[in-house]
Amino acid sequence: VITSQPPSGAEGLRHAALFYRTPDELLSTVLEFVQAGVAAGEPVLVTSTGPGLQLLQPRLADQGELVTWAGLTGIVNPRRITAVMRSFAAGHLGRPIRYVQERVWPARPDQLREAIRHEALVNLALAGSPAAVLCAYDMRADAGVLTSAQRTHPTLVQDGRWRPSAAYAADVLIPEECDEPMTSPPVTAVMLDYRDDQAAVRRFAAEHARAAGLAPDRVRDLVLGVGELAGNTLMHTSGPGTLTMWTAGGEVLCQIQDSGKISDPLAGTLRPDPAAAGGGRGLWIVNQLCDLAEFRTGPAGTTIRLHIRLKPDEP
Amino acid sequence: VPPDEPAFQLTVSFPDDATAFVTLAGQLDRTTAIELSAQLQPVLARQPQLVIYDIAQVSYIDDAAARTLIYSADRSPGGQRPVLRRPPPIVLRLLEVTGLDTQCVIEP
Repeated sequence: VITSQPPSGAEGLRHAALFYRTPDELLSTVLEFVQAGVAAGEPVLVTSTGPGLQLLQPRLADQGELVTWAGLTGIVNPRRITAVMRSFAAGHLGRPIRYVQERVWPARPDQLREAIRHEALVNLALAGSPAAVLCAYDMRADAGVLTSAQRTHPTLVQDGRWRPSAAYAADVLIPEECDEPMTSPPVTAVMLDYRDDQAAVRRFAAEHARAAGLAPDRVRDLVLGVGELAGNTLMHTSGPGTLTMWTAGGEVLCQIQDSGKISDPLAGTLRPDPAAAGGGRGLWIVNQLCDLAEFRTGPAGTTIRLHIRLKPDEP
Repeated sequence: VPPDEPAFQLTVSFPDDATAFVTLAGQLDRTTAIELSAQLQPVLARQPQLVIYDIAQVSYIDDAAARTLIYSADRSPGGQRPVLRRPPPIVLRLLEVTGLDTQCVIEP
C-alpha cells in the first residue's frame, strides 16, 4: 500500500526509513510527520546525533508542548539510544507516540555495524508498542547503509510516498553484516587471563589505560566496566576469561573474552529497574561507560570489546 | 591487594538503638560478596531503623555489592533508606549509571 500520509503508530509499531536528497525534503517530510502527530495528540520525540535535523529545531519551537527535542550529539554508542526511546514511550504509557531520529553515519566499519544493529533492534525493543518511528537517511550515504536501512525498516518513505520496504526481512532479527568478525587485536596488545583474581584484572586494566594516556575519570569508567564483565565471567561461566588491551585510532580498546553466552540481543540496552533483581545489569553499565561496545556471542563463547576515546570531544 | 590481606574491612557501631553505623574499606566485588553479606547479617538482625555506611575508604564497588548494601538495609522493618556517606568518585559513578543513587541517601 502506497500512501502520501505519514503512518500513526496507534495500531502498533510503524518503523520507517526516510530517504532524502535535499535538506528541504528532509524538513518537509519530518515536519509533516511531526504535525500529523501533534494533530492526533501524540507526543513526539525528535533526536539527532548530527547536524541534519538541527535545521529543524527552530521550526519545532512553535509545535507546542507535545514535541520534545533531544540533542544526542556526543552519544556515539548506539546501544544507549534504545533506552532513550523506551523511556519516552514509558513516560506516555498507553498513548501512541512518535519518534524521529537521524544519525551521522560513521565511516568506521565497527561504528557502522553497531548503528545498523540499533536500527534492527528498534523492531524488537518497541515491538507491539504504539509508536511511529521515522529514521532519516541522507541518500548520499554509503550504498551499504541504504541497503541495510531497507532491510531493517518495514516502511520506506521517498519523494513523499510511504510504502512497504520489499527488502525488509521480518524473520531476520539482526542483519548478518552486523556480526561480521571483528579485526584481530594487534600483536602489541597486552593480555591477562583471570578468574578469581578480580582485583588483579581491574588493576591491570587501570594501569594500561593510564599508560595509554586516558584521563582519570575515564580510567574509572573503564575499571567499572571491566569489573562488571570480569564479575560476569566468575558468576556465569566455569572457566577463565581473558582481558586484552591495546590502543588504536585515538581509543583505548579493552576486550573481555570468556565462555559465556548472551541470549538476549537487547541485553544491556534497556535501563534496569534499580529496585529489581536480575541479570544484564553489567552490560547496561558497560554501555553507559564506553563510547562503543561490540558484542559477539555464540557456541564458542562471548567476546565484548569496549572502546573509550582518549580525547572525549573528538568524534 | 596482597593475597594474605582481606579485600575489605567492615567495622560497625551502634550510636543508638535505632541506628547502625558501618564503616567499609577496600574493594567490594563478586569475590567478597558472600563475606560481605555474612558480616552484614548480624548488623541487620538487630533491625536498625537506619543504616549509615561510611564508604570513604571503598576503592571499588560493583553493582551486586552496591545492591547488597542498599537493599539488605532497606528490608529492615520500618526502616529508612540507607545512607551512603562520603562515596569516592568511582562509587558515585556506579550509583549514577545504575540508578541506585535514587534508592539511597548520599551524603558527601
